[in-house]
Amino acid sequence: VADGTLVHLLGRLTFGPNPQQLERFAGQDTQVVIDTLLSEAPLPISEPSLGSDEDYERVTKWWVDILADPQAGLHERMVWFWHGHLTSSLDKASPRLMVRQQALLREHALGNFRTLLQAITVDGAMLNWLDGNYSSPDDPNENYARELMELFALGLDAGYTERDIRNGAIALSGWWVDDENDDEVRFNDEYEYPSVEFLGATVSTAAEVVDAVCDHPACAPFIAGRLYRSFHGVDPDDATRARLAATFVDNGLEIRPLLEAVVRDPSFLDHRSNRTRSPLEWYVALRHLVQVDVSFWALAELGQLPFHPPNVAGWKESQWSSVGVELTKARLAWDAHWEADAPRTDDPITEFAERCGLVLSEETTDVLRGSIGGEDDWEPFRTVYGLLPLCPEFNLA
Amino acid sequence: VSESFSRRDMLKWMSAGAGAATIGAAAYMYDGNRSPASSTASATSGAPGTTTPPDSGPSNVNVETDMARRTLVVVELEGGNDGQSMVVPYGLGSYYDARPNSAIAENEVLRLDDRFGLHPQLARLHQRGVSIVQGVGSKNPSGSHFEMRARWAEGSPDALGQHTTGFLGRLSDALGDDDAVATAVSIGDGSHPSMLSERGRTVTITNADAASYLTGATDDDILRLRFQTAYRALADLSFDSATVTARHEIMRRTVGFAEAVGVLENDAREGYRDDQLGQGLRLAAQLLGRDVGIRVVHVVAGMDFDTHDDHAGRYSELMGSFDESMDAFMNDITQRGLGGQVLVATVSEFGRTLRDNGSSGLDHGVSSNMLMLGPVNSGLHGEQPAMREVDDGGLATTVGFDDYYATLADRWLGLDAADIVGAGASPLDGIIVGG
Repeated sequence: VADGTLVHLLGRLTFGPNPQQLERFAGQDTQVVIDTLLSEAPLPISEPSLGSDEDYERVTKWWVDILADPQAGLHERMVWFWHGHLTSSLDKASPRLMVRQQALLREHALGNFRTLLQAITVDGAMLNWLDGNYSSPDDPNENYARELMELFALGLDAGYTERDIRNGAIALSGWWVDDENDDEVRFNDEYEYPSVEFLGATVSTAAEVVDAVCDHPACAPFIAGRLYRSFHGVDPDDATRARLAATFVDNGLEIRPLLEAVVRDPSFLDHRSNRTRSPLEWYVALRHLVQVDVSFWALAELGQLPFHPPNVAGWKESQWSSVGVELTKARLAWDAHWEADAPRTDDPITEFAERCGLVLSEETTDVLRGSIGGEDDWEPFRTVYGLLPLCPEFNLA
Repeated sequence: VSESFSRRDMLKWMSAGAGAATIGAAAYMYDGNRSPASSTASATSGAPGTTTPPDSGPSNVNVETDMARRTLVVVELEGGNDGQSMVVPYGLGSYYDARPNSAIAENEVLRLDDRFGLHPQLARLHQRGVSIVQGVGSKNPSGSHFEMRARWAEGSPDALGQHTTGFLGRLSDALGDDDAVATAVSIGDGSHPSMLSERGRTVTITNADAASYLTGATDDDILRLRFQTAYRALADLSFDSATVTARHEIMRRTVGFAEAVGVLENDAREGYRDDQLGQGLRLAAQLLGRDVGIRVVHVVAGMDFDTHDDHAGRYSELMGSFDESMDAFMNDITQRGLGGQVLVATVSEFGRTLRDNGSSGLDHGVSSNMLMLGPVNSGLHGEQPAMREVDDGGLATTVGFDDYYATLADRWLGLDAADIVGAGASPLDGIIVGG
């Protein structure tokens, strides 16, 4: 029977559990597993080759295959977290620019938040996504300035004003993507950049804007809260948020110490099976269950295609569970099970459940058992493959 | 477009919101299966210019007065529909000056009044009577397919980020009760950004098969029957845990939707083109005929309105298909007894340029004409923009599309436009019968 605590750790700190992980960590002490997952090196990544009319398809499949790699660990989880938080999309940025932004997220995923925010503020994909591209001090675009504060670093109603947005946009302007020269990001120094008041500081450059945002008292609690929610499935209480924010500030906005504090918080082990699996988590789990490369287009149908957040606010948990998603899951599970291998034992329910680290209730097990055909049936176990991904146990994280 | 990136994948990609994934024409590339426009109506309409224009005024359907029974069908013409070819300003000489290659001859136009007439392929709809809203678009336009499709989906004409849900999703949130199996259904692959909602009463289905995975298996299909029986049994389990209970609730609602909607092939009607629009509209009529609380249906036409080249020829084929399937849909819902309660409204991300380009095509423009069918006062509404190029060659927006959306939300569905669309949106009077 799967160890519920191990399954929880792998489900939250990686995109598991998968059979390789379950075998590797079987019987290990919880703290040892946490220590190991926190300290593992990033996956080695080779960049996709670009330059054909298949680029959009290719980069998406490239990343989905990384996310579904059984070796993908906490670093990949953090790259995914930042993609959903500091969003950009193939909707408005080219595959080349999205791959470049991905490298940036990969570099800073567990690094320094200020450095990450500085870098992504003048990242080519972001300049396209939030319209900074070709803005000038005379014709500033307020989109990035607003979302930088509202969604990326401070939170709505965190005390900034419309004037801060307008002035921030002026100081953030001047950056552009040179699409005739390999999409290099350039700064136009022919403009005059006036000094403006922004969040109580005087700024004239994008770097000064980002510094002022990072120094704002709402920044650390906001990021700490978002990270906590991502790993715990619920928001922190006020005391926890304040304690995590203090840790973040004391460490100069280094992400790793904050993440360790979030994960080592004793409540982390209790906050299990308290949310719906995201479509991505469900899709990866389906691949591990049937051991077939289910097409990444399934994620488009489920509403969580990587490199394609629905809007600047990223994916919403409220959309992870709906009749439409459920109909799609039923079809994907039913269609995927045809290609899966026959069980190796005469107890397919236990075998499949162990493969994906499921602790099934007696009631669920009874229903699954009832679905298995008689001895005369062709591959009587197949319904179990189709039904397991639809069980409540498979759909919670 | 490479073979591995099939038309179906492309549509899936598109309807997932990926927009002009490959920018411009390639993203809307047609797969070559264009059937010749062979609609009998247009063939028999003879010299279309002589057709008697329908009187402007109420259509001959009895409008449903109980707003709680009214439904809305939104047809999305992706790629940027040229409003000036759909509703031809044949009485404005500047139209012929601007389009030496793609203009439609005056004697072919199906007249609406002494200045405007419908495209010659829209003979059935001309006969039926349609309402046109002229000059609809953004007053702060972008020439980007993806930007403008996203704005239409969100319901924010001038800039993204005004809402975190989609326009149709907000309609669904406002219209549905908690018991409804679904309030809004989108027909297409992927989850359309317009369907993003807070309450989740939106469903996207690909085809009539959608529910057949969970309902309708018979004794001779034992594997599927076992699968469906077990799924229901799982859905009916109950537990103490709130998260597990919520999961079972979704499963039960999904079974409810599948059973309510059923296997849809059974009552499909004839007369539709065998293309994505025709199949989508046929399915829309079937869904509305189920009377299970569905109030909004979104149909992605799956056509290529991005006519950068050979505009005249391609547009004729598009309109021929549109006319045939829309007419079939209106007949279908009338036969189902729904004639007075279904309003059809088109959307498209932008219009096209005033002038022909060097490839006898039209590039991305600004405003366009929207078309409405059902209990509407037929004829022209809104305001034709001046035949003058603005914003890189398009025609100016005279009606913000938030006002168009507000008309659907307020005048048709009785909802507060300020809540659904935004504080600045004001509904247009006189389009909807009684509204």
